[in-house]
Amino acid sequence: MPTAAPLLECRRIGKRFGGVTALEQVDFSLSGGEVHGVVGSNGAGKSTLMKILAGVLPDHDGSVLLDGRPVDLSTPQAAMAQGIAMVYQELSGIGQLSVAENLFLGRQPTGRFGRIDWRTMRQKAREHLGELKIDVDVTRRLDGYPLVIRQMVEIARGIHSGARVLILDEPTSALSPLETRRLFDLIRRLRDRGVAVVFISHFIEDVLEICDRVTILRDGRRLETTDAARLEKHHVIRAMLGRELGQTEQGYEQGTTLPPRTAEPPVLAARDLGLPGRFSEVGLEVSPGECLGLYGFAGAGHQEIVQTLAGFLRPKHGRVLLDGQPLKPGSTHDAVRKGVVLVAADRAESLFMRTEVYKNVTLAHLRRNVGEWLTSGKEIAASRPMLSRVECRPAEPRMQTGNLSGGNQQKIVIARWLLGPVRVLLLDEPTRGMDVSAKSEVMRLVAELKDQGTAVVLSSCEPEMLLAHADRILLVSRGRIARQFVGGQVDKTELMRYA
Amino acid sequence: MNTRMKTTWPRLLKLPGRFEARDIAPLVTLALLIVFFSFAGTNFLGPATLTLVLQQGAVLGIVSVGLTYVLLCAEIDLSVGMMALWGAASCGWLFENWALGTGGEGTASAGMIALVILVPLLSCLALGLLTGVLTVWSRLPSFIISLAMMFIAEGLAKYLTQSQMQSLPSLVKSIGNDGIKSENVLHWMYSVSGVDLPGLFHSMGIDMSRFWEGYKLPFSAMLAVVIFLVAHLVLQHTRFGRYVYMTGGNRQSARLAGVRTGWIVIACLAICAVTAGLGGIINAGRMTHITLDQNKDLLLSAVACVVLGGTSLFGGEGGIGKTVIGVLTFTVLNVGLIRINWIDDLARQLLLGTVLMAALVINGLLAKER
Repeated sequence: MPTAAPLLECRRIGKRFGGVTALEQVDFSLSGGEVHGVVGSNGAGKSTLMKILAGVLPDHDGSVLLDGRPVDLSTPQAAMAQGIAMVYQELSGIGQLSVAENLFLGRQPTGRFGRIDWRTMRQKAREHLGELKIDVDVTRRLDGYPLVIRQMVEIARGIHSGARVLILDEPTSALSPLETRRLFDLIRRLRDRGVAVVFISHFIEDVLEICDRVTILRDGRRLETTDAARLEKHHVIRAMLGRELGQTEQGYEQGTTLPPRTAEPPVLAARDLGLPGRFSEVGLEVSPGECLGLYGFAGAGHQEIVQTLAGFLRPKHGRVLLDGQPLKPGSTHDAVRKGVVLVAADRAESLFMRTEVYKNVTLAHLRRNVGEWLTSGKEIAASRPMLSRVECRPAEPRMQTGNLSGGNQQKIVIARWLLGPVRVLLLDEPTRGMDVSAKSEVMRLVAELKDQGTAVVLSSCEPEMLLAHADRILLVSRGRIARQFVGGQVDKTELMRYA
Repeated sequence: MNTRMKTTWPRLLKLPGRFEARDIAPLVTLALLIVFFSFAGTNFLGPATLTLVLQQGAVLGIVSVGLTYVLLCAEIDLSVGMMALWGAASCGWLFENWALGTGGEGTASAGMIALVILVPLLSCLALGLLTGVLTVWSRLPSFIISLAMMFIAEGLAKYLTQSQMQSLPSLVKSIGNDGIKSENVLHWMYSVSGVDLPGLFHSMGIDMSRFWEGYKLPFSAMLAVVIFLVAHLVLQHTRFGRYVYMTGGNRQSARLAGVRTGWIVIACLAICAVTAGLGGIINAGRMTHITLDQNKDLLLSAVACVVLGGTSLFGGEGGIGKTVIGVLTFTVLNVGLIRINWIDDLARQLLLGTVLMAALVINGLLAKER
């Protein structure tokens, strides 16, 4: 139960990036022993607020107080020294090192002459992880463990170095339900020890389940802070968006009826595709105007299948055929030229964050849209119509791409592909880390393309996404196509049962 | 309470347009060096110095152009020094053993001379392509492959020439050494327009001969400027140039966008080898003969110039303009130290290194201010 005086207090926090206001006059308080959820739409300011707390953005308005005293958050080290630890959406932790080494990163116990005392380190690691009921072999390499364990070790590291405030940024977005349970157990244990936990997530259900209080941000302002027990999912979504969710978006909770298999001949086919260690014997087809869904838990191999279809990965066996003709394996150039394009999960992998938006948009189809002689004027002119077509906000071609929010960045990727032929649109977790409204905007674009005859392959580990958008669903489990769902009733439980 | 970050001194500099402190830093360094040497050195601002700076700078600049392309794609080519040597050695060898025959230079036709220059450049192209293909195919770092190529090129040069001094076509010597003389310009102006500038000033009682006599615009510098222009335009305004920046900026993103990053890397390494060979030939022309100890320091000097100018070693940022400033800075530093008579050669080396380190550090610090 939360203690009386707030442990962490933020007063009138504000942050601008150039002309864009990310946060305005936000007050936020956190008590020890409390799990506090932070939800909000794209660009609402959640990540910005947390980055300020973590010491990544020192140049801001307003003040932050810890135990009633102002703190120095000018660098991440300063924040950590104050006891604020952040565990990011994109994991850190060094895979090649053991669990114990990761736990003691930078703080290894030393013996004589500064030599690392391995035995003490392992012993203490076992103790600490045992207290937190994290059951691992501390001598094994970190990358030998699944994602949830890596996350928990990261959290344990923060706690062990004395963190009293733990900030979790989208912790469950890549976790299966079972793994989410384990994570929640750990969070509850931490709460009982008096740690204050900030839980940022787009998964409203998770937030309402684990959090004591929830703060809703919208457009850089704090809208309300309420006890989780008194909140309902619909209310939260409405507050985040400022409007009621469409009927269609709500409906997929229960399940859906898939249409019968289309009669159109397939445009893209995979025959006996295999990549050792990732997937094997994969055969699939997709027709124009059809959306083929690939569902699986994280690590099932569906991501790699989509990347191979796009030419990003080179398969060991099998072929990918477009209109019956094989695509050059491992060649994104061949695929892009012929209209087989990929929207990747990690925006940082698709885009050049330190370059201007217009350069990112024009890159794939320069000759077609700008010609041989490039000038910024021509490129900006070529990119503007696409920016408005995908409704990128702000639609400023000269902006640094890294300054856009995640949803808008994904729209830039789509805008890039729209400048050329799009016969097959491959999507790999396209809306990861995006909130409800940005998700629906991006998927609306996808639906438009589908209606215009593009074949869509959608790979995701979110059942709702596939139920809402796919015409046919292939279940991928441990690198193999386990099952196909077509023309009939299917719901979340069905999907998850066979995964 | 406001927690605004303390402003560091570059932020106090409000510059027009899109320029930031880090863009200006190399220019400031250059200006400071020029000012310093004009006081500390003897006769620094005179025609001899200028000519030397332009000639040395031309060679270094041409090599640095290729290296800029390579660094922009986040690779490196350690073989530039030896590739320059190979270019010069093969040129000399072809000249002596094929073009000259028994007759002496008069018997060599213009076509033969052209081949004597072109064939070495083509061989450099081939070696550069090899470096590129091996780098991409083996997935080993270009550092390793180009290191091996460095030894290969040196070995080839030594083997071919059997460690003997070679001579060169006079065309090459002329490019390396000669240039447009200021006196010739004044004569030409007089013969074309009838305007006699020196006479004009003389009649007013002003003696301007110090300002326009003895100056020479070296042909090598003119060639270098043409190469700079072409290289710059390609980088900024062609698709190839854009692909180079993207390949270096983020290899994975470039691939996802359909850029054939493998070919881009190969092309850049090939370009680098050719510019290195060309630089070597011109440098040999300047020395009028080819000896095997030339171009020893070329690799590190060229890398220093490119980095000094502001191109990132990690790829994706930088350009020809920046490299030119880096080349000028380095050359001014080098030549300036020669002009300071009261330092001996050993101390000169030390000073060069120290000033270079200081300049790199300062530029690096400023580059971090975003």
